[in-house]
Amino acid sequence: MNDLDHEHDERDLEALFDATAEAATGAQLTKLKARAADVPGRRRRPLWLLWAPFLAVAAGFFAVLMLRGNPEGEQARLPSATTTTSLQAPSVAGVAPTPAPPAEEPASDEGDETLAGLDDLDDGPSTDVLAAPLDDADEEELDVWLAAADSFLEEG
Amino acid sequence: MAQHVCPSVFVTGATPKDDTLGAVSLEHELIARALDGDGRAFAGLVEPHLPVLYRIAARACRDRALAEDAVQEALTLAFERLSGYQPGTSFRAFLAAFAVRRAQTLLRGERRRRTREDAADAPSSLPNPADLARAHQAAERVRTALEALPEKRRAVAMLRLDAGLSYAEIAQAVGTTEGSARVLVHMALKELREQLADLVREGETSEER
Repeated sequence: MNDLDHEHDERDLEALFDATAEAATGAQLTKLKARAADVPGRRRRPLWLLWAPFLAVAAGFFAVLMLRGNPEGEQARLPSATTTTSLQAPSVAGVAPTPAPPAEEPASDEGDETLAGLDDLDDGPSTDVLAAPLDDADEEELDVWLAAADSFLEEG
Repeated sequence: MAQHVCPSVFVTGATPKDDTLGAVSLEHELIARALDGDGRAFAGLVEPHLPVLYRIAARACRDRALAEDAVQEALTLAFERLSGYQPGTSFRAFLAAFAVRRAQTLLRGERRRRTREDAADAPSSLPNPADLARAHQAAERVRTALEALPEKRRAVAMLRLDAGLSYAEIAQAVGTTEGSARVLVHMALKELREQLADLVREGETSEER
């Protein structure tokens, strides 16, 4: 095939392609131009944002794990929390409903003033621990500490 | 490879002496602004080429909405590679390359869709008037002939016949030499001519009448 034939073929095919091509309407071109104007803005989003949903899910999962881990931690620390409460028990003894009454009334004004500041420390989780029913071992421990507190106050 | 020309030369310097130089400077300025995130600059840059991009996309699929989406995807791809564009080369070829790439993907999808539709729906059942149906069938024939070509020949055929690019521009678009582009176009057109011989003859006779 020579160049002349090739040019002729090309012209025929061009005519066929032109006849079968779909031209964009004015409205379509306007729409396409508007969409083109959006391209730089859409592209300028940082790539890491693509990972944001996955990061959020991972963070949520991690948070759930941490929260689930905490109750176990609380349970593990509970005995020591009780001990702490027991150490503070002298100040709370007056308001705690359950403990057995002490052998002697501890209430001297001086002693109350000394220990008054500790009342403020009794808010929070330890209150819940006190509100919970005490078992025998706890009651015995509390009695011991109350007795110790009484003797301390008497000495003071 | 074209040299990078600083846009400030044109923006602050003397008035360009010819239109080509002015067009290049404007193009360069729009590219710089588009790369800074200026959407209007990017729209202004691609606007003259939108009809060609749409024609390429619409060649690959019948659905107008899909063709519009394909144009936008091509523009997104082009924007991502915009910093690599060599000023002074054909921006139309640069854009058309992305449009043809999207069209290739669309053609594959269209082939699958047509296979499904043809099983249930004969072309003769089209509700359109006869002329419309004939035009539609001719477009389908052209699409099918394009699909039958190897990928690279299909690309150069669309770049030549739909985008109207020169051999040099086709070479730029497909990343080859001008000589290779010429050979590829020649082979693609020869195959198309063989497959569409009856349609081409029909066109010739109608022109003669």
